[in-house]
Amino acid sequence: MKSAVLHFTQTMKVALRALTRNKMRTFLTALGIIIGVGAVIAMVSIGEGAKRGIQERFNSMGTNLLFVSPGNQNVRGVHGQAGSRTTLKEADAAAIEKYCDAVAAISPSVSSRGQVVYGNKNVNTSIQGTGSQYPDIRSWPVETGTYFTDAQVQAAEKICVLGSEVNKNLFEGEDPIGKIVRVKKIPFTVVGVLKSKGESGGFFNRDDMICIPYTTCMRRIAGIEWLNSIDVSAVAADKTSEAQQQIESLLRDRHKIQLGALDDFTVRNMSDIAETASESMQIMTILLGSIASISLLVGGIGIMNIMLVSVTERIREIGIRMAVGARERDILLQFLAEAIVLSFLGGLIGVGFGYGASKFMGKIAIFSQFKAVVSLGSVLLAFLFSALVGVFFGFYPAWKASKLDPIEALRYE
Amino acid sequence: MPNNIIELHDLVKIYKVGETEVQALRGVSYSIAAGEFLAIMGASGSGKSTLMNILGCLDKPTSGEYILDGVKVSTLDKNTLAGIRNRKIGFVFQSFNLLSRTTALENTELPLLYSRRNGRDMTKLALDSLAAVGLRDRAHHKTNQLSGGEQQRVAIARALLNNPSLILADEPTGNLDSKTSFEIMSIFKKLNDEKHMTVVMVTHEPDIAAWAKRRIYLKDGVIIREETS
Repeated sequence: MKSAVLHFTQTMKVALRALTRNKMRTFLTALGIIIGVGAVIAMVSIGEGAKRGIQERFNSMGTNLLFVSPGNQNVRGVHGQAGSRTTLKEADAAAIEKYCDAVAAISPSVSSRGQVVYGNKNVNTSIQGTGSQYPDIRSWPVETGTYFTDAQVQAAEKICVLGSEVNKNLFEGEDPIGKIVRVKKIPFTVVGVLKSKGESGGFFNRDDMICIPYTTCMRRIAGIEWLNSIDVSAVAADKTSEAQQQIESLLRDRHKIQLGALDDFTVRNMSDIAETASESMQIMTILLGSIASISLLVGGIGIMNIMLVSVTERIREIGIRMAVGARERDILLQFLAEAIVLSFLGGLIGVGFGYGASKFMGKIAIFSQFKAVVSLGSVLLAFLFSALVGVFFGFYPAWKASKLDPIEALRYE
Repeated sequence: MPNNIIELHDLVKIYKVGETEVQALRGVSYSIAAGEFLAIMGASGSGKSTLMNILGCLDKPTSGEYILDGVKVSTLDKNTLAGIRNRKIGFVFQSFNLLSRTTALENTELPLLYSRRNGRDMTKLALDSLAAVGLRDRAHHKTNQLSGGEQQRVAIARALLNNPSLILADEPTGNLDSKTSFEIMSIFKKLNDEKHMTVVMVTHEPDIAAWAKRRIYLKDGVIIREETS
């Protein structure tokens, strides 16, 4: 056992010695591996960060959230200008709240888009018609002022709560509470401003919107008699499946849907959505990682190339070693060790390089919310892969070296 | 232990060069006793290099027997032969054949890398070997810092390291001037006289061959003459 360890350290020493003999060549060859491993680490850590970022967003939205939307769509995603179907009614929402005991609160949703004007400033923004429970369900409290009450919603009052971005653009620091803004030319009184939630995915600003009672939106703004969707919160996170089932059976009953027929609505569970998004991120990560692995492959080819050159240059040396007693296996292991040390060192530096690269990319705007996460698993995997690359691509040159004829080798100029 | 370190029985070696067959050795029989100093002479093409390669276990005869230290080595496989080269044979080549960019000490130690022995005494053994050729104080000089004569002496130290049964020298003074050749041959003579090392040398120079106690002449793959001084 001890002699095996000794033999191993000796082999490593000999390999390192051979590699340091031509530092520039060693560095250039290792560069392929460094870039390959670095790219894989950077890509995987960005993907990991994206996944975690999305998970955090979902968590901050509340995991006991459900969405009921009209039409039978298995659309991926959170909230869209839901289908053109008109099957969800106000009464459905009221029924859900009344009869489904796993449901804590509901907020009907009617959305539109339009100009909001204050003084000489105007913005084109999203108009969200909501119920009074909206802040609780969405975990989105007001910063200043208040949200609508049930009574105000019932009365379809012309009041609004501003998103922090709209507030900033229209009022620029002035206190908006009590002021009048024109929403699609209709005057609304501002009663509150929502807390800032920040950008989501860098593509749209969640604070760029204005909330009004859904009743007002239905009658005055959108001019429709149906709901775009219903936000629902379950009594607890582990009750979401139960709530989902209750809502589905209630609505099937109300909409008189026969057994086996398609529903004319869709209930989506927040945690399902979160899981789907998570899975997509995972696939993206694997895809990115695989593409980056191609560069690792190229690095390996570089190793094979250089080792072949190295063997040819050292034919004489191999002959000398064989003359003093090196067996085929000794020569094979010697050159294989060199390839493995080369790729492993490349992997080591590559991990550092990838870590640095992912930190650097975090500073660039587009990637900034994807706080790259370098997990221990990916690092270990990268090491394993770089060692394997060394073994695989170093084997052929080492085998060629071991098969040399000593007499020919000693004669080689 | 048998008195004859080497016994050759009817050695034949045939090479295939393209389409033609070359008969390098056509039946060589000879015995070499322990402690001998033998020179093998002959023109190029006489088969002396082939004989040297077979004696050094770098090559195997096409037919015939080669018994080294009581072991029939002519039928052994490549890996076993490597072990025998490591333990029983010390090579000295015309072009020294040291590893470049390596110190004298590391060059001398090289055979120990491939022997199964424990590596702890490696350095001491190598230093002793270098001392025996008078290069103890140059142990840490690299090959390119050594003169031709010094390099050959390192090669001899390397050959001596595992305490071999025989030293095989192939034109050991071929790349050296006459003064340095004298020094090298003196070392061989000293090793033969004082340590009773068996030395077998291939050369085409009569002056160098004169240092040996016995000489055999090869022509066309057979021994044609033997001389004792």
